[in-house]
Amino acid sequence: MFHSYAVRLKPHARSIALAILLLAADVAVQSVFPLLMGRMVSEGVWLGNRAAIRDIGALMLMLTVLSCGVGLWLCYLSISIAQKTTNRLRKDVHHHALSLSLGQLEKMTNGELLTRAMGDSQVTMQFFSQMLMMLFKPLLLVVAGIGLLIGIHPRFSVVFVTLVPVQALLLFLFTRWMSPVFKRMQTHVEGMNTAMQEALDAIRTVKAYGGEETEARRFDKPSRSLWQDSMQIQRAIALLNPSMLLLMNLGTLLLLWLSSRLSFGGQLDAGQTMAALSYVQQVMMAILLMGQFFPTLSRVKVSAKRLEAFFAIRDDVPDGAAALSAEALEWSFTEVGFAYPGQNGFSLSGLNLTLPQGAFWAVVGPVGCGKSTFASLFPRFYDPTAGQIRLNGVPLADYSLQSLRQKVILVVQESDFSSETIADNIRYGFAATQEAVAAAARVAQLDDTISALPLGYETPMQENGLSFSGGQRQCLAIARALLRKPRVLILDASTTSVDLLTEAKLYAALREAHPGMTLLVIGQRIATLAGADQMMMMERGRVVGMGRHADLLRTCEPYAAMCRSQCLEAEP
Amino acid sequence: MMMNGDPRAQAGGARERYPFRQKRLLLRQMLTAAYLKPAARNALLISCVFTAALNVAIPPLIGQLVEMIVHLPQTGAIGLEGIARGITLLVGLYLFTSALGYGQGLLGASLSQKQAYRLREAIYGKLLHLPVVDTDTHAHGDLMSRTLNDVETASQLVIQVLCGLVLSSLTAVCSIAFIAALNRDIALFTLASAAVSMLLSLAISGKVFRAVGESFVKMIFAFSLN
Repeated sequence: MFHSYAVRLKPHARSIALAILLLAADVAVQSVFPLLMGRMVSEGVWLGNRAAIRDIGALMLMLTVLSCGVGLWLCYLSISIAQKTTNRLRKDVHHHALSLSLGQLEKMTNGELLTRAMGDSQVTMQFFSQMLMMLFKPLLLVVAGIGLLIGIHPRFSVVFVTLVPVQALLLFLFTRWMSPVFKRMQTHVEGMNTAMQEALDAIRTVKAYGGEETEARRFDKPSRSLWQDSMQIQRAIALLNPSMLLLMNLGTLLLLWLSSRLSFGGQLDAGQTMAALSYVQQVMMAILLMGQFFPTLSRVKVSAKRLEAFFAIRDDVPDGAAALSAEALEWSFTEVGFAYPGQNGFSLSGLNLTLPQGAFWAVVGPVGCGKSTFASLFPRFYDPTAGQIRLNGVPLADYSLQSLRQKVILVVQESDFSSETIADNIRYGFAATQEAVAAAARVAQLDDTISALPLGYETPMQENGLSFSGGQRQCLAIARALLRKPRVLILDASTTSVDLLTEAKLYAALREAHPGMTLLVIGQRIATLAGADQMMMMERGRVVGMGRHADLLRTCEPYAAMCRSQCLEAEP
Repeated sequence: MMMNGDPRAQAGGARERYPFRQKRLLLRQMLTAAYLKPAARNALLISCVFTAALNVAIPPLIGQLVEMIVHLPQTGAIGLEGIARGITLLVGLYLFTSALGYGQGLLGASLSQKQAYRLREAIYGKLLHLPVVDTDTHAHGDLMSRTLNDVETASQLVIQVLCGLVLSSLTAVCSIAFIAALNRDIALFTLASAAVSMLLSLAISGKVFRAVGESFVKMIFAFSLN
């Protein structure tokens, strides 16, 4: 269960070993204190020996300073290991999430991902930062304390034989009872994250339809459940802590009673009584501290299981080994079909086609006919569930995803932008000069607009590019793709908000600036797509017509109907 | 095609609008009676006073018991009977302390969790009613973090302030007073040590506290005053 933690702790093995050594030293020093105090009472206070008090006192002072230094070092190490391990865990969750296919990611909500990356990692950090000081150190103190107390008189073992099993049982029951509640709590946090993120992403829709109350109710459900489950946990903790404290205090009283019996029989002196009292309090305090750590332990068990389950998700679009280095890419689809998970029937079926390098293809068809699903197969966002796609005669799945997606870029209808500058958003991690960025924007019909801004390409954007119009955002996304000089550019309804004139100019500029690039446009506007080398008409997941515009007008009735609906009777 | 305005001018404008007095008022609202019923709050405080009193009263009783044990060879069976009575009394006091601790835990949990819930709802409600420009000019991750994480921190603060701080302060004051009654020098030494510890803690945690406080204030501003 803790495998995901063990792997990430491994690089810190030396720090952990050092921490354990320091811990042992700290415990040893702390365990000597009651003995020294006992000696001070027996040999100094009781006999009025000032020299003994001074010497033992000086030794205790030195040990206190030593213990303080060791304790500080230990705390630093503990927190440092915790922060580094958690940082690695967060990065790995993020990386794993990004490495999953769209199909896998669509099974999870954003809230789920966020809670795993942030919430579960946060619990993990809390666990690691407290583990040394609240679990291992008390455990060692308990062992040392019991040993030394029995060393003073074996009969003192009665205190632990009587009380420690009760405390252990309490902690066991707490952990067992609370684990499912902690699990539910994380699910509620996921629910809140999801509701909130969805509402923020759709804030314009919320405002437009007066959906504030609906969204508030959506958020309230997991929020209320979280409150109720947190109350359950807090009630249990409210009972656990005083119970543990009561047992600790009863232990002290039991020891006092045993001491009185032994002292009555002349088997114990004042110093030993004081030392025994200190040890029993040390042991009980340590157990109390461990008790306070147990809620974290219960919670981290749940988080560890959730993280393990997350890391166990395997990508259903496995990476290939072959690097795609060819410049000319010829695609062939043989009886390709695709069905989404849990879907009845196919979204695509019986696709047979060959797409040569440098072609300009347009795919048209009514809403829901499978155009976007078809486009998603090229960069392998999904793998076909039937048939085979070959690229230059090799199965597409044999190519490494990285090399494939460097050459094949799909621009979707709504792209995402960050609050960085326009230039950085166009680059999106791709190393390119300002001139290259401007050249890409020029082809995307955006250079004039950006250059007219006071800060030009250095103008910061708002999150999601909201300072741009819909059409400008689409052009910006196309510029981002062009900067990477793809061999295949797929525009999936990515010019829907661009005016007809700009769209026509864009296609012309694309052909002129990138003559050898394959251009596949998914769209609806025949007026701007009619100049394509090949038009593909789709209906219900199937290709119902293919050819040039003029041919399809004659041979494909659905296409002709579509043209009529757009008032296009003749070749434009 | 026209740009929809300069984002740099829009972003960040919300921060400087609120004077310090308003910050304090908002913090006070958060930390005091905004979401706590007076009866429950008073019960919690009274319980803390009782616990502090017991925390001060019990150690001297244990001290007396130890002294009786040490002198048992002289006092014999009579001393043993006295010890038995003392232990019985302490069992009762410990049971009472634990019952108080349980009550405090329940009340503190109820208050903090209810506050967290209501605060979440209030902030989220406010967020949904903010003008669109405010949600556009703040990163969504930031807004989410403030609504979920900072509220959690705030609710923890309630338990710590109401129970921990009150109980610890009362216990410290009573203990020092008690020590002063026994020996003024030791009391002065204890007081000086406590002062040094507090100053050290404040110096170390000051930066962190200020950062947390700022984050807390930003959270309230982002949602309450827009």
